[in-house]
Amino acid sequence: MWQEFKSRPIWASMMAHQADAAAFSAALEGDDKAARKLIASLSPKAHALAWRILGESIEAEDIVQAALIKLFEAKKYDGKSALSTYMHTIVTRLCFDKLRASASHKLDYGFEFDELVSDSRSTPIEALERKQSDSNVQHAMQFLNARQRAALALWAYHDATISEIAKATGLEVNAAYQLLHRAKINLRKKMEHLGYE
Amino acid sequence: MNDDDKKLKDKIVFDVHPRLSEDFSKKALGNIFIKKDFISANNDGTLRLLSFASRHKFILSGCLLLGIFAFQQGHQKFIDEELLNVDTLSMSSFSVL
Repeated sequence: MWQEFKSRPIWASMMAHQADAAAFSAALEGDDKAARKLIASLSPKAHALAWRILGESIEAEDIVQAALIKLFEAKKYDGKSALSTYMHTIVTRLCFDKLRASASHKLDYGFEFDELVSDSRSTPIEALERKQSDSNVQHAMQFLNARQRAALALWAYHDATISEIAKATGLEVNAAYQLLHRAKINLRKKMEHLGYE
Repeated sequence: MNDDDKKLKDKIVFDVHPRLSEDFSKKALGNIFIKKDFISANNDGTLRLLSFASRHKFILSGCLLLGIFAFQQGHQKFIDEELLNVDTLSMSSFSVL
């Protein structure tokens, strides 16, 4: 009984992966309907992940578009793990690349440091108001560094395991565990500090 | 997962999120298929020209055979004319002798 109960989710997830693999190969062969279905299922969570890391919705959309192209360019999906795992790894790495390209510091520092190095297109107060208008959680998350934001978003949206977070963020498993642990503590502290709890 | 983690996760997941733009799906589909065609055309070091050639290989090989036949006929005619000239010259030289 326990064996059956325990093995059911694995069996169900394997079936889901096989369905993903079938849809992916159909989409690669030019099946418009299968491609639409895949885009509809992968995009919302990928967009949320990119938005949490980058802090901008339009930039996040561009990242998801680029990630979808990369996913289809790869032309390989064995169905061993979820297609969304590959998608989220690509999205996370593209976000990191974007942050690295925009300012070398952004990957390791949060919102406070970004404001110091930002250009003078808007005043710090305007920038702060703009960031606050998004949501309380998003505002608090912007104080964390990009890796911590990515770890939290992967954990929250995708139920990512520590090894999946490690793979996506390019860290060792132990470091990824510490990263997620610190990210949770920092977010709770920041939300409490800002009066959002 | 403990209660605190669950609460934190719910706060992140059920938070207000920006929506994807209306034309996102259409744009994504266009990007994927345009890129994919481009990639498949360049995949083994070929360009679209070779992709066109492989699609219409029978017509193109027919054209090539016709071209070779026409060239061969033209060449044969040229050789015949040359031989005729040589014959005429040799005849005239014989007549002088």
